[in-house]
Amino acid sequence: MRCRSINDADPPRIALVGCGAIAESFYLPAFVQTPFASSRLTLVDINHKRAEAMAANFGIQSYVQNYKSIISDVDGAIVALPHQLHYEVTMDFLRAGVHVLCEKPLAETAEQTSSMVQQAERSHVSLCVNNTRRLFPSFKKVKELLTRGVIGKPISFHMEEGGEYNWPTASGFYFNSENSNHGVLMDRGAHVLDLVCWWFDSELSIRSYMDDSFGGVEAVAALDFLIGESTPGFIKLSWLSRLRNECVIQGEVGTLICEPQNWRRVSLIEDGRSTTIRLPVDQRYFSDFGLEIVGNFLGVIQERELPLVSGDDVVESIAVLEKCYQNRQRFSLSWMEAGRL
Amino acid sequence: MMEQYGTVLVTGAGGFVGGRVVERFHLDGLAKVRAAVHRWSSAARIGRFPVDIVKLDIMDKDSLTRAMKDSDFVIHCAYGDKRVNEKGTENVLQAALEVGVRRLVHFSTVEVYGDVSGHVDESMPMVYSGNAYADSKINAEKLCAAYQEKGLSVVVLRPALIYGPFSKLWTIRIAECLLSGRWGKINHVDGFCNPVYVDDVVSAITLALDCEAADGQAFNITSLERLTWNQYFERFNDALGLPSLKQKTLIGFYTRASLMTPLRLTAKRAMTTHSDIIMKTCARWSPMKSAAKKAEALIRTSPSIQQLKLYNRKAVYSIERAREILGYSPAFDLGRGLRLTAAWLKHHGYLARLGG
Repeated sequence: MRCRSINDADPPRIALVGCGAIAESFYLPAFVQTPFASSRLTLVDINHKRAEAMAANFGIQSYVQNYKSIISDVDGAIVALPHQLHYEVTMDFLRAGVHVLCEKPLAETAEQTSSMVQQAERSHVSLCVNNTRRLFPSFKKVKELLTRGVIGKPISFHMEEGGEYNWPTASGFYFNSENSNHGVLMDRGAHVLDLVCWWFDSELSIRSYMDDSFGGVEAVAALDFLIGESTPGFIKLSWLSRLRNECVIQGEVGTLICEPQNWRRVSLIEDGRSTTIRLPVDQRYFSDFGLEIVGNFLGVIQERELPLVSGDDVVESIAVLEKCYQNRQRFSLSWMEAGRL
Repeated sequence: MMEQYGTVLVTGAGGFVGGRVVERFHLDGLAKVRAAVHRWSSAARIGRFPVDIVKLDIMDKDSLTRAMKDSDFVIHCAYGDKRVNEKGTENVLQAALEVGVRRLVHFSTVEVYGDVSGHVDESMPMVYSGNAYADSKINAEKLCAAYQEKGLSVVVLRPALIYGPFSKLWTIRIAECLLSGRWGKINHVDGFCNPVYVDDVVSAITLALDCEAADGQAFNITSLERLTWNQYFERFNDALGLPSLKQKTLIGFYTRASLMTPLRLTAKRAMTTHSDIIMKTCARWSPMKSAAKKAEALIRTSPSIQQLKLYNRKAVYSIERAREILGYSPAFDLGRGLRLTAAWLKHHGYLARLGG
C-alpha cells in the first residue's frame, strides 16, 4: 500500500473502471470538461472493444482490459461496474492505497459497506459514493427546511417513483439472474433510501417490504417503515410504469412536496397556502452533476476537499436495503396466477 | 424438471404478448424459456423471472442463429415496421429452418382480412388494405407459407383485440380515455370489438405448439363473446369503478378526431425527426414540458379517424377452426378479464395517477 503526494501541477491519475452507460453519459463528459483530467485517465473494461470505442469517442489515450494491471499506477479509481462487483473491485483498490469513487449503491450488504469504510481508513484513502441526488438543490433545500423545523415534527413520509425502465445499459447486467436478484429497490431505492436517511437522520425500521420478484429482479417494490419511533413512511418504486413521482413529507405545521427527478423546485404548504420555492441551478441535465462529482473526487485526492458523500454516509441506507431483501414478500398479483394451467 | 416443450425461444419477449408467454411458460414449467429482447431496456418485466434473457436483433441473421441454437420451438412475437415484419420474419423463418426447430408459431392479426364485415373465418382471403402494419403481416404470412413448403412446420395465429395487463393499445390507452372524462358511449357506433384476454392467447399458442393437425394452418383467436365497442367501453368503465359513461355523438367524436389530426401528425413528425431536441427542451423549460404533456394527453384520449372506422366494423371473427383443431377454449369472459386488468392497472398506479 502506498499513498502518493499529489498537487495541482501533478494531476491525479484516474482509472475509470467499467465503460457502460454511466461512464458514457456521466463520467466521460465530465472528464472531457475538466482541465487536464482526461489526459491522466485510463479506461478499463473487460470488453476491450467497448473500452476502445469509448476511448476513441472521448479522445482518451489509455485503455486496458484488466484493472489489476494498472492498480499500482493510479491515484484514484472510479468504480462504475454492475453493483454486485462494487465490493470486490473497490476493496482491491482500497487495499492498494487508491482513493475510490464508487457508483451507488456502494455495496449490497451492511457488512460489505463497513468493511469498505474500514479498509479506506486503514489505507488512509478516501471512499466516495456517487449518490448524486444529495447534490440536487431541491433535496438540499428539503434537508435545510427539515433541519430548521419549518414544517414542525414530521408526521408522515410518502414517496413514489416510477417510470418504464429506460436505462441504456450496455451489458444488461441487471437481467442476468445468475448475477443478482436485486432490481428496482437496489437501483432507485438506493437513491430514495439514502435521501430518507440523510433528511431525517433517524433510524428506519421496516414494517413490511413487498416486491414482484419471481426469482429474478423485482420491477415493483413497496416499503412500509417507521422513521424513528413513530413517523410512518411509505415508498413505492417501479420500473414498469409511471407513478405519481412525488415525495410528500407532512409535518405538524406544514407539508413539503418535491419530485424525484426535479432538482429545481420544492413546494411548501403552510396554513393551507402553497408556495413554490424555485432554486437557482446551474445544472440543466442530470449528467451536469457529473462535473461536480468528478471535480470533488479530484479535490479529495488532492486533499483540497472532503467527499460530498462518503462511504460512511451510506452505511445506514445500505443496511435498510439489505433488511428489505432479507424480509421480502411477494405482492399478491391476481393477474399473474390467473391463467396458470 | 423435464419441461414439456424443451427449450422455447420467444422473440419480442419484452412486449405485451411475448412477455406474458414468458411468464406463463416459466410459471407453468412448460419450457425452458429463452426470452429474446431487442433492447435491454425492455427486459424489466421478464427480468422478474429466472429465465435466459438474450439480446436479439432479428435483422441480424448471425445473432438469430446463435439465439435459436438448441431451441425446440420458436414463438415469434416480435414486430416493428415493414422491414422488421417482413425481412425480420424471413430471417427468423430461415434460422428456424436451418436450426431444425420442431415448430414455429407466428403471431399475426385478424387485420389481414382487411375492412370486412359479417362472419369471418380462415377461408376468407387476406386483403391488402393500405394499413402498413396489416399489409406487412400479410406478407409475413406469405413467407410463413413459403417456409412451410420448404419443410418448416409453421402455425399462424390471428388474434383480434387482445386486452389485459401490459396492453398499451387496448388497456392502458382505453383506461386513459375513460379516466379523462372525455370518453363516452358513441351514438350510431355498433361495430364488434372481438376482445380476447391475453392469457387465452397464450393458451392458444401453447396448443399450437404440439397439435399435429395444426401444421401449416392459420387460426383466428378471440373469445366467445360478441360485444360491441360501446359495450366494451361500458364494461371497462364499470370495472374501473367510474361514474356511468355519458352518451356522445358520433359527429362530435368525428369533429374531435378531425381537429386532432393535424396535431397528431405534427407531433408524430416532430418526435420522429427532432425527439432529442424536444426532450432536452422539455427537460430544461417547464412551460414546454407542461404544454407537451397536455398535448400528449389530449392526443392519447381523443379518437383518431381510423379508430372510429374500426368501431363501426361489423366483423365477427370465427374461432371454430381453433376450437376444432387446436382444442382452443377461451377461459376468460370479459368480466373476469377486466377484473384482473383493473387490478393490474391499480397496482401499477395508472388509476391514482390519472385521477381514478
